[in-house]
Amino acid sequence: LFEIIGHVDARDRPIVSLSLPDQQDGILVHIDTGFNRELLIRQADVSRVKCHVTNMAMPVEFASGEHRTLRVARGRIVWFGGFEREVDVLIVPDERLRPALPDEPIALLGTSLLASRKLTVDFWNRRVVISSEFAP
Amino acid sequence: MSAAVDAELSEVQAKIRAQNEYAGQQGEQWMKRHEAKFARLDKGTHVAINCRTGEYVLGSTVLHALDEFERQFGKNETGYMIEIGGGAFVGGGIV
Repeated sequence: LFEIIGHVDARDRPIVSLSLPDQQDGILVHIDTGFNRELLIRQADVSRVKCHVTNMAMPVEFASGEHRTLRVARGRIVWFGGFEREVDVLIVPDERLRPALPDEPIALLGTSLLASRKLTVDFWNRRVVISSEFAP
Repeated sequence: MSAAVDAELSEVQAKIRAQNEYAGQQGEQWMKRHEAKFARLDKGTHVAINCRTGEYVLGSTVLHALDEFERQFGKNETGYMIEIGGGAFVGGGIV
């Protein structure tokens, strides 16, 4: 069984650290089961995940009912078993210029990345586990 | 952050917003024109439309459709991607 262990933070958000290829420090991501793609990141934080922004755009519906067109990027993460995986990343061109602080999550991890995995969020013990019976 | 960096970032963000707006407008127009053909596609198919010409390619995932789009039209063409019977949804979090 392969596992990625995370925690529930002080704001009650399920958080895991994702490793990135050729980068010593991982990034903190917020697991959002209300987001149905792979990763979503603000424009101000794009440089931290070294993703390649493409000329492809995609319509996205937000919980407020608002529809926005977001840019699609390609990124790479280290996923189960230490295997690299290419992921699609949606870029939000936000008005806030400040990048996230080092201890803040910089991306949403959505349900497309959790397909065929098991997500356990134990709020009592403030522990998050994504587990998988297979590596890649 | 300095005022110069702020100004540069604002400029980049304004450019991205304008590009996204162009892609959204053109993409929606092409979608309407192709509506009958898209209605025959399987649910879950990703369609990447060339915003300039209206040509499109198909893929089973976002990345498959993106790869095929760039292979066929190059990396400089603006595209607009939809998923038949689905679509991206963001329910909360940092946005």
